[in-house]
Amino acid sequence: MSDWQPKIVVFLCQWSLKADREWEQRFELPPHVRVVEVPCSGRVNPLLVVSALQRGADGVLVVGCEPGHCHYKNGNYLGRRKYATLGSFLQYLGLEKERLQVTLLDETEGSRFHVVVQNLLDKVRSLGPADALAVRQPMACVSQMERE
Amino acid sequence: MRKKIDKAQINTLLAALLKDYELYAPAREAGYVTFRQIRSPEEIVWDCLVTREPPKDVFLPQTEVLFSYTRGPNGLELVSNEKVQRERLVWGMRPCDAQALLVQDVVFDTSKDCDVYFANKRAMTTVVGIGCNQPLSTCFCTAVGGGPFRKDGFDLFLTDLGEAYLAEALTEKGERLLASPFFHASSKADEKAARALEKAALAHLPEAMDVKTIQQHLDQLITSPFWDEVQASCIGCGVCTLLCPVCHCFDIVDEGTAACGQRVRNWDTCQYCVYTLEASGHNPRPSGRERVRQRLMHKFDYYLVTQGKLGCVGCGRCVQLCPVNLDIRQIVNEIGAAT
Amino acid sequence: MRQYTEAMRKEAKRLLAEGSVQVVIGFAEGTLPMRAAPFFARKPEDAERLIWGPFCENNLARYLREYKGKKAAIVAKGCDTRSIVALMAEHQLPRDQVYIIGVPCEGMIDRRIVARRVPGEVLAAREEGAELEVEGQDFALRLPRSEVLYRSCSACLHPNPVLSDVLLGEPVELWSQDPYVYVREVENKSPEERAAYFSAEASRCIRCYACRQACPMCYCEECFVDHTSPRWIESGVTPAGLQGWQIGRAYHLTGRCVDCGACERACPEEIDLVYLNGKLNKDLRELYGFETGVKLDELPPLAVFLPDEGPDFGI
Repeated sequence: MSDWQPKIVVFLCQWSLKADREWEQRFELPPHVRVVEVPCSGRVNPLLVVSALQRGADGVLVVGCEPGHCHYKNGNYLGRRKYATLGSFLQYLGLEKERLQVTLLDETEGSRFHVVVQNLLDKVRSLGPADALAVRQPMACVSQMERE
Repeated sequence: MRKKIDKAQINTLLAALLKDYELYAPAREAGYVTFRQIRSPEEIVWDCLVTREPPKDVFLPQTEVLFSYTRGPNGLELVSNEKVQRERLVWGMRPCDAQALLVQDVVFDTSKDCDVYFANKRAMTTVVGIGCNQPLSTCFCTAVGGGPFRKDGFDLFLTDLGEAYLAEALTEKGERLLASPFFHASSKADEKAARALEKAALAHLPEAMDVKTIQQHLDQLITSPFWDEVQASCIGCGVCTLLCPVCHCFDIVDEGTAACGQRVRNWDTCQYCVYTLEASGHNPRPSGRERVRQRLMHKFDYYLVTQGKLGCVGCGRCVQLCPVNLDIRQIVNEIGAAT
Repeated sequence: MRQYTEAMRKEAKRLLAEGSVQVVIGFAEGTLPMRAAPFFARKPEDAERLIWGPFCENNLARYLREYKGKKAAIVAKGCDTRSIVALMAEHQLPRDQVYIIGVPCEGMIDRRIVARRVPGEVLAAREEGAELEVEGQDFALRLPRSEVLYRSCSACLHPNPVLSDVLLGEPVELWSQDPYVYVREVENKSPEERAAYFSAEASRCIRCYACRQACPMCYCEECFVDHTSPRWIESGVTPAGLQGWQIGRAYHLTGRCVDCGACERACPEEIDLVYLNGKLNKDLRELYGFETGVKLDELPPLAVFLPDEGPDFGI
């Protein structure tokens, strides 16, 4: 039984959990889940997702704000077609569709965030390490995530 | 020293060679034939004259790790990648590609400087060539001082006589190969047949171009509007240079993290707009005019001045593969005819 | 194939003699069999060199960016006109700066398929009705035209110009049943097969960027692969570098690609690119009813949203 843990990168909208200030204290994230804060979920450049996958991520989660709650009015809406097409494209290239998830949260939903992350971890754990797309070799030799 | 090997024996010879060498030969790749490493003699494609990619990669890999580093418990560990582990054999190289290697030798291995990566691969590689009985309509080695049966640059040179190959060793490495029991004695008749094949091949190839005149005209045409028309259709991709057996520009980058990484050398091309882009933002070759002109001048003028050789071997790959049918033969003719 | 050469030369000559355009971008005779070379007629007498044929495979809209501030006439097949409309939608090209000589197209011949169907080097090729006559040193064959078209041409839904200032002939009848037949073939494979196919195709890439340079829509002054800060993808021809390049370029063309196939035709390693870009185009068509370059004032699909549209995602 291996103790392999799936590496997840979360692109988290900085506004999305703002009201729930204690989510970080209540639900400590394991070291193999890395959070990257972005000013808006709509800002996530597809190359960031590809980059994460190529640097060893087994799953990627994008967290944005619920419809109507976007700090910039409609960044979350503008992200929708982007993620739909990107997800469909990566699936076409062989990446399992469960590995890229997008979720929109209410700003008080810190606990739901934790559930979402846990579900993704479980799903990706059952899928195993991502091997459809090639990983950067220098990054694969020793990853920062494994060191800390 | 000359010997002969029957075609029926070739695969057995190659299977034996595969035990001692990493073998590179023309082989199928998707819909075309290119030089690549092969694991069995059956992979070799025998009737391809000009492979899609030249065997340039064997001596100057497109992406080459120069050294890698890791931060270990004892500090920074460096691992150099200067030497290859196994001897290699390039089988079935054509005279044009060998002439290109000789141009690269002059650049990478001089009395003053030696590129250890290139030099090591050259030393560890045996090059077996084969003459061109039926040049393609895009071949023009003779125009640039080469020939379909030119032997310099090879360790062993083969001539296809039909049922057998005539084999001539030109160096010690070549003699080593000829010692194999699969070779047997050749005859004067074989040599006569080989000469006839060369004569027939030459009949299909163009005459030598007037190198001096081209060079002079190039010097005179630097500011000419001639280049505006030549470059009009060029789209600025890298196909001509990356697939050219002579071209060898490169870029060196460091890629990695604090924990580990590599210093990598990648092929580069003067045809990219960023090639001469300086950190200040200035670009001495800001448009297609300068870049297309640069390619022609480097190959037919500057190389002559700095290396004493032409930078073009007449393989015809750029002619075949340019997406917009820019034809270097046509451009050189126009340069020659310019007043 | 229809004969447009005379009409093309006449129109070009007229435009250049009048001085209403500074250049006519078209094709001239190539130096090799099965090739035509992009050509720039600048004086009325240059017009005589223009030709039209089944080897005019390049998307000439690629050259319009070199003529900013000048009025250019351009010989454009259906797909080329879509690129022109797409460029206008992105404010790269004012309508009054281009004069479109529209050519209803019957499909371009794939010289690579022809080369594989014959036993030696092709020395001459010409169309004879519905067939292509191909000659070499020791052979002469006839191949049915329909069997040697580029895939993107066989599947094409827009052979007729969507916008033009003059149309050189009557519109052609459509022949394609499904513009994305080759995408569906791959969609129907298992994920492992799809991953293997993408990996194998990308592995041949040599990052010459001919695909990018041949594309009318790749006009960024600095491409993402040339960024050093950040370095999005590895710089070498490593598997990750190659796949990153293929994915990045395809995705950057979402909603901008017109399936013209110029990228695939330019690629020296004959990488399957239409299946890659085609997938994104098919998704846009099926999810949002969008087709690039068909409607003049349509907004780019990724710049719009409808409040209640799907698909949903998330956990």
